[in-house]
Amino acid sequence: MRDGRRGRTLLRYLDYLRICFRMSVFRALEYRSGVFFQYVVDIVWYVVQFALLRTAFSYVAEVAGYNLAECYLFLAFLFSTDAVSMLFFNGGLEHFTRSVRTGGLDFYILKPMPTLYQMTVARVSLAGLLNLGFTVFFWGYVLRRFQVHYSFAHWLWAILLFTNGIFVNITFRLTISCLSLWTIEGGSLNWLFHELMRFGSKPEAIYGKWARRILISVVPALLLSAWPCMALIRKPSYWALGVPFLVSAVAGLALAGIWRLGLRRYEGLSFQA
Amino acid sequence: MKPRWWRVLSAPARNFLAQLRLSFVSALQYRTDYLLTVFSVAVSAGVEIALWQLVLKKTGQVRGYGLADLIVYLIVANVISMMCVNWESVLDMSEEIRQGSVSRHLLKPISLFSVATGDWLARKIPVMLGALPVFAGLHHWIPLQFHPHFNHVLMFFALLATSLWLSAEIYFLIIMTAFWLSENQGVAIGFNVLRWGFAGTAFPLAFYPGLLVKFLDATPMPYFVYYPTLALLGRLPTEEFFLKFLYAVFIGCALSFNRWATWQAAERRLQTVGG
Repeated sequence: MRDGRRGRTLLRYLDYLRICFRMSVFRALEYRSGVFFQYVVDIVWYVVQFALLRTAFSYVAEVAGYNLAECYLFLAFLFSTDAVSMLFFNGGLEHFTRSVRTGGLDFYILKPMPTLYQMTVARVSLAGLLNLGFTVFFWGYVLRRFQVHYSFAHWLWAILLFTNGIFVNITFRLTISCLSLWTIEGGSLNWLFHELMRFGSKPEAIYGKWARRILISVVPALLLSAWPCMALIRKPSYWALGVPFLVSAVAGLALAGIWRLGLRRYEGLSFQA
Repeated sequence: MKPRWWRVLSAPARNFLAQLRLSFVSALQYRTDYLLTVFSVAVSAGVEIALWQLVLKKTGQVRGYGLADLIVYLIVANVISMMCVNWESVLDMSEEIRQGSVSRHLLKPISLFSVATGDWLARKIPVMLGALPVFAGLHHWIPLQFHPHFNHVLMFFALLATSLWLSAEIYFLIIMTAFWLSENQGVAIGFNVLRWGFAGTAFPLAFYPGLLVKFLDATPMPYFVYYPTLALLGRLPTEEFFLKFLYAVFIGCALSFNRWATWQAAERRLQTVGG
């Protein structure tokens, strides 16, 4: 009985995601050049990330214990994180702070669906779908070129940590965005988030012990791509494998608390530009 | 009473100063942006230093840069990069063009580009002034390999001026794509990402393979950050400086002409479309 209700709830969430996706596709088709440029921007970002990391490997065979094949695997994880983020929630979360400022949040609060979920998937991106295609192609290239072989357990941990990383990404971003319930002007908060996440654009081993600790807990930038990659190519301890799940649980609780507190302050300005 | 010719000639400067004053007042309202800009420089430089110090530990130096040289390079390069016009500066203008509210600027006795330049200077000058004590403090705290001569400083300011000019012209051209494209934010952000990777902000361009460096040298990319940084660090010989400076001025003139011609076409288009 209980399982049946949970199943129905899950279906309702998926259905909402489907509707958002359909609406976003219609919107995107109105502005086709926008979709094209969004896609190109992401490809440019991939090329730059590739060039920056690959250049370091043109001088040494190994950086922080990563060889060239592992560096490509890291990039594949990095691109995947970005593509999933662009596809499902980047657009929605970019508008979160704006909705708080303009009062647009009112409409989300009134609907019979958790507000944060609605805000997260409100603007699914068609360009993200194209990026995902590119990422799949890049994965294929890396696996074929380097003939990497890891055990099933390693892949499983990597996939679990990657999924957890996406959850942490959403949670952390929402937490920062929720601060706009206090600050009202939230453009800088989006900027702050992107700057903090830059730490995750390089493998975790380049940072010192303390920096690494901070970057998997306080600012969990390394949990998005670097940690799943590390779980795949190294033999980390169970503690190292478990910490990200602990962090995501704490981050989830913190978000719930901040959201409830912030909502009490929210007055709803009802569409003031 | 000043002569009429003087009033006519000095009008653009007076209008620009008035605009600059207004922009300053508006920029000072957003102090958080200044803190975030400094933070962004620290993150950007810090991540690259973390990576390259591991490479340099093994090789000792890369293309004449040891760790101390690279730290100074990255700090200077990131400050310069921050001062260049970037996509944030252009988003508002693109939005105005798309919505038609750009018409209100056409009524004013000051060009749209002067307004944008005033806004940008007002945002960047406090950042530059703020960066100086941070840099001096850093220099005191970690003795950096940074002892520029007077002529290096002169060459730096000359190349910095061209860098700011080129970045402004390129972004103005990008802004004007809003007259033709329904969505041009992607163009501005895409160019910003390219500039971050290939203008020498992340590391000296000499680190890239030779062929890519030659290719980049023919584009305006190295003139944004790389050459001004090299000039200040005394890594740009005087003869080479003159060649680079002349080439930058040549590109700047070409871009200015392009901008002017595109604006003429765009203005006609705006009259057709309305506001």
